[in-house]
Amino acid sequence: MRKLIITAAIAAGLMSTTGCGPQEDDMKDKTIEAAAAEARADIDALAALLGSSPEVRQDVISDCVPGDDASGKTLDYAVRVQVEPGTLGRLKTEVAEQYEADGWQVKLDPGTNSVRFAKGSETIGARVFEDRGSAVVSGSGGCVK
Amino acid sequence: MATVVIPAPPPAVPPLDADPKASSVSSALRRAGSTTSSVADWAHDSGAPADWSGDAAEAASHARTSFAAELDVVVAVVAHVAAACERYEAAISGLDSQRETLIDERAALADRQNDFARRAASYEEDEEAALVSEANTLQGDIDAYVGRVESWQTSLTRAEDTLIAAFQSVDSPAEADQFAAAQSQGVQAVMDRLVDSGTLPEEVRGMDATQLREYLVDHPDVARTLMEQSPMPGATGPEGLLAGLVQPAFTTPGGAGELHEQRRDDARALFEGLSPADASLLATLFPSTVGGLSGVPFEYRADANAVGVVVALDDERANLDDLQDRHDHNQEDGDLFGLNNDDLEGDIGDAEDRIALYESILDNDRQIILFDPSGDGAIAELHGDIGADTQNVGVSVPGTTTDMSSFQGVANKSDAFVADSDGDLAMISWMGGDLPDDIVQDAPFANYAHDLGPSLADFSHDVRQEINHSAAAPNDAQTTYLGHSYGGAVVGRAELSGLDADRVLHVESAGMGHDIQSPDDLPDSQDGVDRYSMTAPGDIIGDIQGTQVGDNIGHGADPDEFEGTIRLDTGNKADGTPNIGVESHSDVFLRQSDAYFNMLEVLNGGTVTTYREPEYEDPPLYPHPGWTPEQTGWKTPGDRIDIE
Repeated sequence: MRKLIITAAIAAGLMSTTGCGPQEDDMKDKTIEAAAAEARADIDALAALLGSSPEVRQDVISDCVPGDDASGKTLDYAVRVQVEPGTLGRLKTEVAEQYEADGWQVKLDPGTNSVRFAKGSETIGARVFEDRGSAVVSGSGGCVK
Repeated sequence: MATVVIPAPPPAVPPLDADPKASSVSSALRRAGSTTSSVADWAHDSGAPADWSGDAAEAASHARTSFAAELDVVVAVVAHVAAACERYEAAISGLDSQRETLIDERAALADRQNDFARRAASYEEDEEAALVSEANTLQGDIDAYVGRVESWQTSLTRAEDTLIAAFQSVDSPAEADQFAAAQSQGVQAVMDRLVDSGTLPEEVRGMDATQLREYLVDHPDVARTLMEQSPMPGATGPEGLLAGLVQPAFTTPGGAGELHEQRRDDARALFEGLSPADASLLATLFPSTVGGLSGVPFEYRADANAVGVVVALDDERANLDDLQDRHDHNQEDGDLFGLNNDDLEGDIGDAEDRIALYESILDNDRQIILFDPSGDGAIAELHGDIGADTQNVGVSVPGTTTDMSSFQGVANKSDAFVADSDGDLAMISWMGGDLPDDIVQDAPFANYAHDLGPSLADFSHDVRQEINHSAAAPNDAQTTYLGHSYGGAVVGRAELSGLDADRVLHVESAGMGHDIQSPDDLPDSQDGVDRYSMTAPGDIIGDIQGTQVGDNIGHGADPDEFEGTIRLDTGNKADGTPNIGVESHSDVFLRQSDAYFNMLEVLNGGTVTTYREPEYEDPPLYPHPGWTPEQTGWKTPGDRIDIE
């Protein structure tokens, strides 16, 4: 019986799940449209740094927790570009250094074809597929309530 | 006086020249068929180059249409012979096994015959009666053996003849055209029958699948009529074959599984034996039969389910109208405090979400490979393509509160994984049936997972078949089943039913599945599955993992501690703060967070970071009652490991 009570108590705690965690202060006054516009611009900018012929592969604003309207809204945005050989190396060195200098937190994710950048509630990740001459830059502007 | 007749030695089993491992032939044919089908699709979808005009453009368009039609014939013929090869391989594999049994049987009979011949060469009179009886028994056994050898030989000859006939039926251009035309006529005959019987209006006669679908979108009443159609048993051609796949059948005890597998193969052979245009039309004409039928190629399941979505959209719009009427009434019904004014807002929101989903499916040709709008709904969607670039296929299984109205969020996450993998990864969002609606009242109970687990396991064989029959087959594409929250318990129960997976990933998972406490509880089929798990510190689900009471409460072992499972880091959110606490339960999916990145790497067979120990603040000198330490970071760095 004790386990049942524990289970119910814990489940009751889970009910309070509201999705996105505490965001940066600047998120409080932002609309999802504004946050999304900023994120799109930053993702487009990084994509342009890496390659050419951008194609938007995903651009959707949805609930932070699927089906939970009260959980806030978040952007999922992805752009594909064509890249030249050596782009992954450039991403992991000069591009990463440039972003770090601009105040972005950089994660090089060793052993992968990817680098991630974060600033405030905004996140960007770039993955380079050298063998097929492409890269995908994607991210989110964070969860806006 | 009786005479002891010594039976002749049993004859040898004839040789089996065919190698049961000759599946490379059909695999090569399948690849060729898949590639040709892709070219045919391109030819169908493309017209003249955009900057061409006038006669040249018309001629180019005509040439491409003719080219596409000829390719359709090639696709149908290649699929026909590939299916024949696969049936032959299956037959040879069975015959090879039977031959080994017959060889052993012959050896035993030969030993008996030798021994008997030695003893019968010289015997006393009082032994004669027993020897005669023994001779009769031995002769009977040898005769039965000879009968089995003859039956085996007959089966071999039949398998060879069937294969030869399949090739001969299409071994000239004229015969290939005739074969494709006969198949096509079979499907067109179905259309004609449905029109003649008044099921379909005259104006759709002669439409192809694309035209018919466009018509149905504008005429949901006709779509509804099609949903009520079933293929007629005893019909000739593809309709009859389709009817045979869903007919009740008697089987031996335990034979239902074999029959289901055979029907999965037969369904694949039926649709791959048709031209893409005919297969699409057949699926559209019998949507309720084809939409979830195991073995039907996913693109045709999607064609069928589009019809179901048309009907569901029509129903949902009517439902929304009704809800809004009642909502409006509630505002004006004069109840003193307006207590019922908001009663229907949730239902209205859900109906609007479902309508948005259905409209999106139809507007964007989304690949819905399972669809049932009844109750909370069942739906599965393929994101991306399973094609020549595909190295991995992931299946995402969501958890508590997911239903048709919230499925779009699950689909968005799968789309994100696909977009970030640029063609290497295809995803399937799978909500195969009813999931718990409520975390307290429903989620502790295992019956949802009991129901869904076997369905997911069965679906996994469809996924594997789809991969093996696609251009991704040479890539040895790997599958990952990702179960989030209650979905983890579903994946676990699917393993109990033989889930065909290369990798399993438990994400904030409720458990390994009711009654699964160790790998010993799983069938041998799961021995090769690589398992990963991630649970963020402070996610309350971590406190119920490993809890199980009675027959229907709890979800088996804690995935993070299950033998052989590699626990992964959930790390930080994208903003650099640890992804912890109650909200981490869903925050793990935040784009580019450490947890999301680890999931993406598992799905793609890349490099992941293993579990990091949380680091907490030091306790104050005099902690107040109820003080709990806050996590300040990570004590250990985790290891970087390659996914196998």
